[in-house]
Amino acid sequence: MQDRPTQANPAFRWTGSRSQAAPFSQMETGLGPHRAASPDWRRMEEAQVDGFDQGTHVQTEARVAAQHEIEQFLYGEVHLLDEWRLHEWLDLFTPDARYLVPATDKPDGDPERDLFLVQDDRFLLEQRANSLLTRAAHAEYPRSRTRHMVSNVQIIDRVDDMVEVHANFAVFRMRRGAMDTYIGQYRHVLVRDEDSGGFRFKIRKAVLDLDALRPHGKVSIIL
Amino acid sequence: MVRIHPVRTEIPGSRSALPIAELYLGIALRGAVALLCDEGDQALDVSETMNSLAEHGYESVAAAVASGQGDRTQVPEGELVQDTIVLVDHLGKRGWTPAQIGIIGYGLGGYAAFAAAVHGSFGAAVSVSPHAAASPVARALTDMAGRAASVRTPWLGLIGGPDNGQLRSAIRQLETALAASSPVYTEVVAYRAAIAPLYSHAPDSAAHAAAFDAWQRTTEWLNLRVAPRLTPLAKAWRARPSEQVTLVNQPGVDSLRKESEMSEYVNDDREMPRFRVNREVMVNPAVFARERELIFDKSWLYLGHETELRKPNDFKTRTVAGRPLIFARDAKGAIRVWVNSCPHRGAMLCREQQGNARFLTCFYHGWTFNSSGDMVSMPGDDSYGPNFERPNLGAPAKVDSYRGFVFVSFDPGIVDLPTYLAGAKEYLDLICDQSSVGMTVLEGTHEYSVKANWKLLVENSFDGYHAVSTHQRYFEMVMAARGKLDASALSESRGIDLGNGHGVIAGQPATEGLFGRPTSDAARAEKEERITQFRQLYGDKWVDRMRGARNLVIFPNLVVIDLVMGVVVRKIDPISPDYMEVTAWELVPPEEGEELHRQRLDNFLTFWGPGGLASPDDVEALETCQRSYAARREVQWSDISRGMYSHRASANDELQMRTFWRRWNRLITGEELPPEEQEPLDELYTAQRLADRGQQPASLG
Repeated sequence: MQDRPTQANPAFRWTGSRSQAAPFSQMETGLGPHRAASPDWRRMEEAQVDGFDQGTHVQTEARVAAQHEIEQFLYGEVHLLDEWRLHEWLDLFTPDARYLVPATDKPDGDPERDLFLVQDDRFLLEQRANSLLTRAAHAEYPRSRTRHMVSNVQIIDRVDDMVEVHANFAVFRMRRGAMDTYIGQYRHVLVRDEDSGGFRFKIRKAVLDLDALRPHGKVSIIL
Repeated sequence: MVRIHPVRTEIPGSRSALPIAELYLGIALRGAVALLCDEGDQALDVSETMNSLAEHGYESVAAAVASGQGDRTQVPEGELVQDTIVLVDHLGKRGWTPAQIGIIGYGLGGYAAFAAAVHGSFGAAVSVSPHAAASPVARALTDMAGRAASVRTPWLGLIGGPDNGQLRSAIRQLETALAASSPVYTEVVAYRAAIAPLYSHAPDSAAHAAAFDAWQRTTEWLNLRVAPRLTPLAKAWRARPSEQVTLVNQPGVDSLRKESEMSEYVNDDREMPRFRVNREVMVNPAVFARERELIFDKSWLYLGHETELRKPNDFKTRTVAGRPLIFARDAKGAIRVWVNSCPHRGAMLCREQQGNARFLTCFYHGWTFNSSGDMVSMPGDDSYGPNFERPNLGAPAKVDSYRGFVFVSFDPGIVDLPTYLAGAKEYLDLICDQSSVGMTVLEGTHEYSVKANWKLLVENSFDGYHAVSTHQRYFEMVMAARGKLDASALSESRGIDLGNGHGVIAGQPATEGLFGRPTSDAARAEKEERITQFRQLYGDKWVDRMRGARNLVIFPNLVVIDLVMGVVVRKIDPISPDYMEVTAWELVPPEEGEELHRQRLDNFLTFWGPGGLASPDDVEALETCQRSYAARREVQWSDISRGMYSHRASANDELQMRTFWRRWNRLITGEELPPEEQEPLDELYTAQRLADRGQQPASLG
């Protein structure tokens, strides 16, 4: 929390260049020169084809372990959300992380160019988490009950210490007799955290499959 | 971050001079707080606490209890109470009564706060990790449990610390004693982590969470119990003689007006003055049907923006006034609008949201039409005789556009669009002049809904009064990003009747800095340069108008809000009396640089977007209004009177809503209500453009 953004901390002024975003959008679509260059990636692909061959079973076990670790991470993360332990949830983000939810009519939008539903940098993410825990968040006061369901977790790509993960989600929000269902796909980029050995979000992206936020009217919870 | 520096001074204390810090406010006050700190806290954190209280509307005075005492381990409780009384009396000199004062204490000050809650009857008291002199917290709690029956002020105990058996049982003992014998309401909350004083840097997220939660509970505790101070007007209202008492909401017992002279829906009393709308109009299906017939079938309605269609034969499908329409460019690039229904038997001709097609074929029987609406082929057409009238696509009665905004009307006799727009044209100009190549709609649309009557969102769209209360958490974000916020700039504005039911609240340039996060110096320089260019093109006075904010409603259901940091175009579609669909697009000057563009994106979605920090709270407000209309017989009227008294309505007043309602009333009931007298607008709201605009906006290809 020593890094909490303040007016005095220029890292959180509204600056930044496109080039910072480029590697991650490349990662998400699976394009980019780094993919071909990484020897690990080639070994991973071989392992997928010859999973039971001698010499590659080690990679297969490693893959299973990685899959399990990432699943557990995601389950733990959404559990914090369902418990409304939002400050601990914030700990799971790197300082330069982003939380993204594209508009329902443009799921492959570019956050630098197109309108999104949510496009939080660290500063906004903290404001969001903090405000949701206050009475001033009228849409969530009294608090709704939520339950995040995560499934179909797949490791899509891995470069150095970053992992791209896709998963399906269904978030149910219950409040005042109504239930809102948000369905979609997570497309996250996780990084290995040196200190804890666990993962943190560099990009936390939730792509909705809904036509429109109807009859939801809003997305006032964290997806 | 500290915005106001508390004044440090000394006042006579119980034993000697008592050093205090004072933070008094000049504006609307919620209450007063006496802040009791542990020695040594004061220099460190009390400024931030006092500023946070100020944000909630509390002025405060702070002191370290038992300060100046050599050995604080032996401070008798009487001395602690005395110091508290000194502070309370000091506040009393500013007119605060005990019921209007809250007491917050930390550590030894927390013990003093509890002692004060026993000693006197104040608005509220909060103790954070209270301990008595040198003894641990558990001892103090046990001691407090023994005095539960004597508590006279609602008291909240926030106790943080490592979870050990002694502390836990002391907490439980205190809770039980208070629940059993305290004559007033109390609460005790325990945290695993020590509660850091507000805003000091907590070592980890658990400690931060505890400090954050403790502060939320503290401010809520005060807000729910500290008595607000009555304004002079409120005092005078309470003091009026009893025979003037009227039961405001009793059905049948109304004011002095002759009800038969007024429409049953809108009550426009110029004498009191008071303007009321019957809540029946928000729920009644017959009224809803009349709105469709008499308003939506007889107005110009927004369909879309020309920049949403870039190439010839581009199309989008959407619904206007319940009719599914095709919004398209034909092969030559002209804007065309078709009813999305095959003239054969009615199948929906175009079932995609958007695309490009020179020919559209109905999938039912294969009839084909071109993008100019003409039938081009039908399979087996020799089964129709030579005199068979081949039907072309249907269309709304009228289609027209202004500065790229495309409207349709289903009334063949309606006046032309520029006449209909009346005074709203000027405000569209102020927005569209902000680009030299033509304002453009971005990709990525906000499509959402509200479980409420459509007219509630119209009202909300140009309601300045609700901003500070409903959008408290949005402005807290802006304050955190900018370091300060001058909300009083909101009142430098006017609500204006633009004719034909259109209305606007327009602000002077000071409103520019109220919304959104700050830009970098480079972006600000770019913006200034653009403004300089516009000054040469349009003249200073027009550009000064452009730099202020505006919330425009074009009757009946188009909202265009330009807060300078972003522009929203919002279309409101009534679906049923208690449900509406909303579509919002962002309009930008495409020639702006990357950073300004990103700032517009960020500002738009954090404020207007249904995933942001503001719009969800509006949706909540409107939905709870709609729910409560089930009791419309008991509470019959919505009041929309703000600003009627002054004849100089600002954005915080409601003239612009009354403008909408008077027009609504005219169309639905036939009753004509004259416009309100207003003080003349000064030049900042009337100055005109210097010359004809330099460039035509980019329109048809």
